Amino acid sequence: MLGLRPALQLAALLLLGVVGAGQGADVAGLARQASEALRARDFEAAERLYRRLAVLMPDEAGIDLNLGLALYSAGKYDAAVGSLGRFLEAVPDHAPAWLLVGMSHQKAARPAEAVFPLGRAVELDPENGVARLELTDALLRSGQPDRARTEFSVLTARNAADPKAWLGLGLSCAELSGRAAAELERTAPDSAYSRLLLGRAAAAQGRLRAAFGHFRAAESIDSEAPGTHEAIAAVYRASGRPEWAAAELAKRSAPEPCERRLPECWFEAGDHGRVIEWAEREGTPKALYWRARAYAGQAEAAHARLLALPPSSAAYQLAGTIEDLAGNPREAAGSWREAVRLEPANPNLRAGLLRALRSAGQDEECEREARALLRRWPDSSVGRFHLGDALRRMGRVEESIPLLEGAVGLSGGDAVMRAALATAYLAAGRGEEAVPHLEAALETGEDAQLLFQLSRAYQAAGRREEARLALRRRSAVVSAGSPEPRQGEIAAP
Amino acid sequence: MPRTVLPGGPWLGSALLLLCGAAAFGQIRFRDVASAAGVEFVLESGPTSRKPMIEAVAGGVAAFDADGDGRPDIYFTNGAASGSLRKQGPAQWNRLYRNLGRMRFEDVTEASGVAGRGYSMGAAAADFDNDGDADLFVAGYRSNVLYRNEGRGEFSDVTQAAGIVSEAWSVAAGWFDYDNDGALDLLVVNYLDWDPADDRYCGDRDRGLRIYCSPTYWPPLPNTLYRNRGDGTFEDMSDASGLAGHAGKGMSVAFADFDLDGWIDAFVTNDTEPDFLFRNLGDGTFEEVGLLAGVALASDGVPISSMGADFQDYDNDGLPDIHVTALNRQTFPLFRNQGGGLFEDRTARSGLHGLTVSRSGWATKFADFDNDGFKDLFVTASHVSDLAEEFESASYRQRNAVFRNTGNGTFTDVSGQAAEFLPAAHRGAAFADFDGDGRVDAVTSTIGGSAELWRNVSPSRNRWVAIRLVGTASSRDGAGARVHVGGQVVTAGSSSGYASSSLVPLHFGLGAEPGAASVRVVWPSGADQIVDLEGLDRVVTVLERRR
Repeated sequence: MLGLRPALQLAALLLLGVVGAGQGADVAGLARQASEALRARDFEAAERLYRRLAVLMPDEAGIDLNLGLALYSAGKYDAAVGSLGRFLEAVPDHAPAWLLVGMSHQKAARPAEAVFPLGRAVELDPENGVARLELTDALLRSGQPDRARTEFSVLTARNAADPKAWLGLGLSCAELSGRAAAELERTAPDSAYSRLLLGRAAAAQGRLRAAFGHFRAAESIDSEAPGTHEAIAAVYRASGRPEWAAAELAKRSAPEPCERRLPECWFEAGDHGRVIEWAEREGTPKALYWRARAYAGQAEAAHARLLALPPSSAAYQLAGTIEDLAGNPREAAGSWREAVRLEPANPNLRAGLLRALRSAGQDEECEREARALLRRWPDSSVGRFHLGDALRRMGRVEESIPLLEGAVGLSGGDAVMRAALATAYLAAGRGEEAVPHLEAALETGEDAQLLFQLSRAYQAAGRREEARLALRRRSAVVSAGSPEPRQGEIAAP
Repeated sequence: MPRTVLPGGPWLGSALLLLCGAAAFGQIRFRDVASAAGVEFVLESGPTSRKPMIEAVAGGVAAFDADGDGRPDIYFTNGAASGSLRKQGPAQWNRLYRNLGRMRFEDVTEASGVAGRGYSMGAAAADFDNDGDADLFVAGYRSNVLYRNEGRGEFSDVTQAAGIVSEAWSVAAGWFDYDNDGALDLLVVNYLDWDPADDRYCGDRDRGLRIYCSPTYWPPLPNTLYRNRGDGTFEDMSDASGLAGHAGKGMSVAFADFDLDGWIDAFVTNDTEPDFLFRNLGDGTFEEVGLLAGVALASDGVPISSMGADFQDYDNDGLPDIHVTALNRQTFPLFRNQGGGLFEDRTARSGLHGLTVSRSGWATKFADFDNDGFKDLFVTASHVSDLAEEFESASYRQRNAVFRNTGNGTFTDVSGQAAEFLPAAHRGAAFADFDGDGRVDAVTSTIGGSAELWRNVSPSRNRWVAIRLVGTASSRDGAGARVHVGGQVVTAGSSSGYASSSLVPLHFGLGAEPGAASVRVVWPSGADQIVDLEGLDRVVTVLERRR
């Protein structure tokens, strides 16, 4: 992200252009005052002055650029996008303006909308590392991990000491690994490869009996499934049965030559790129399995590089993300706190902290942090959402509703924020108002919790038949859920 | 008659009167008298380092008149050795304390024959054989027991003869007359398909912190419905009634006729699963309508760890409402009956969301503790995990709570001024006017700690009346009868709270200047009876008039 200092330097450059236009002493004086206001970080005053300048010089596009910068610096991202958009109509190839538009979307938690302007910024100024980092981050956060991985690879090649690049590369690879695993689970849920991956995921979370069950199931489907005995042996060791682990490993047949064990052999040699290249050409369960594992291997390697660098906000962000995924929100909150401490001007880190606090049920701290975020970025949909949601969870429903309404509006209708607003409406006895938000939130996919709420909202609106229908949809979702089968003991080999 | 002249002149007298007036309205006070009363019960959960979850959910309590002397006695269920799940000595016996009057009790467990066997969980008192004395069902882990009261407080185990031997893990049970034949039937609430040999490790191995596992790891069980044949035996109607088709992780049960169709319905709390509302269709079958009625889940749609429940009319609109306890961050939901078979989640609007979101609750009871005509709430509190502090922002030992009903649909937390509640691992609770002074008292159990007997010493001058029902065509207890006094309605029955039971006269606070002069009873038999109250501040017996 572009910090305040470079932003001010950029402002100073832009101001030169405006003053140079020579519109008279009043204008020059106003421009000077505006520049000083920016330097003094009095963004409200800067905004006021640039608005006056815009009235005085309606045809001067540069005023819109400066106004956009002031608005961006004041945390008024929507207004900044508008002002910068007017400027770009007049000067379409201005890389810094595209960058600011993209960053405004990024800070307003709209990564998908940030991709195009950031892409233009990179196109116009390929050497701009900030623009490329923002673009890759937007790609990753908007569900385009493949492109993000490519861009992050470029960044790590350019600067191997950049922690954010390594973090982004690792997260992109992790996302790609997760996608391959999901595809395997969807297309071949009964394959040995699917069970192997499920077993690995369970083992990583410490669910040893579940892991054991999956590994044994994989073995019964395909006795030659790769790494099964080793995985089972690892479960035995973690359960305090090293003698069973040894017996399990003894069941392995003699290893085949490397060329007959592809791509397993490449994977063992750490050649994840080759495994991915091979797996991308195949469409089999085996290929999906190895694609998932190879991307996971690349993610691990990238994160190892990150952790080898001096402590950084990116390293704590990684730790926070991992703790989040492992279901340890209190520990995650600790890591995010450190990340915020190292980089307080990064709203994404603050958003990570808020998410962890929300999961940990630390509502009072969540309220404090959200208020702090809103003081700095008053138009932040994320800040309003977390403040509103924390208040709702603490029972202050009436206070929460305007905040959540604001968050939904600013975010352009984010599904999670809509769901939180609907919950507040229902708790306040305003179920009818929850209906459109729940219907919109459900457009992203069926969800048992939302369908129950929709049923209650329809009931409140007197739409009884639709309420019943929503419950039927809920039942279908619940029935389709596949609860983990009952797990037996971790038995001897 | 000479006028009393207060020292200090008329102004001081007025001030004192004002103070008294303030005290009379809206003050709830309890004092723990367990030790002085001779109630020294300790709930032994049999804690071990293996942390089988059965240790965390024990603790049902019952208040009922075991010896027929008109005074409510106290029965505590108790645990067992965690490994064998057998009682290995007197410390693990269930205990019956006989009420001697004047808030004094004596332990009569041995003489009464109700020490129990196995790991006991819940208690449900009722006169199932309609012989005029209260019997007792004790739910437990593969050890349900039915005790028939042989008179004068002596009980015999008739489980086998009654045909209700069970191999399930039952936590609670409740007596109700679902077919309105005058013989009380039994709904047994079953929890999980769990075996003590299942030594699952939950917690943090790295820190050596083993905790009780979540129930999500084990399959749910359906509840069991036993129909009382009226001859001392029961018939398992779980399949025929439709109940067997609904597996949950049951913790408690409360009954009321929520749709006023004359057939008693059942609300069952489930741990981490949607709660059940079994609507009685009147033909021997039930329809589960919890989701449609809006009581299966709180308004956010997320299943919670529902523990205890009560099913009474808190807002005096004549319709029974539901209150549920759960763990911290889940709130204790309040569902207001809107009529037409629908409820609305009133947790936030009643103020209970904010009052309960940081608490974990077990028992809950709607009762008018200050006799002002509005039912308040008493909640026992504790987290389920004895290592809660290590994993989340919560405390294991918590203080009980009293929420006063303000009369306008909201509750206020009066716990701080109501009593010196101390943090403990509270579980079940029963409620009765143990000292006969017209104020509802409470008795609670505590895992690994002393039971608490909360004598209600509220400085209220409000009036009251308690109605003791004697059914003739209906069951002797009158279970399921709807009793109206003024604008208030109470559904007769003993099940409430967490795995607990209070078989006592129905208590009505009437305020300082009551206008009510009669009581109306709508019996399960269909009889609709109005009886004039010839006086207040007393227990009035209403004998069911035959139609």
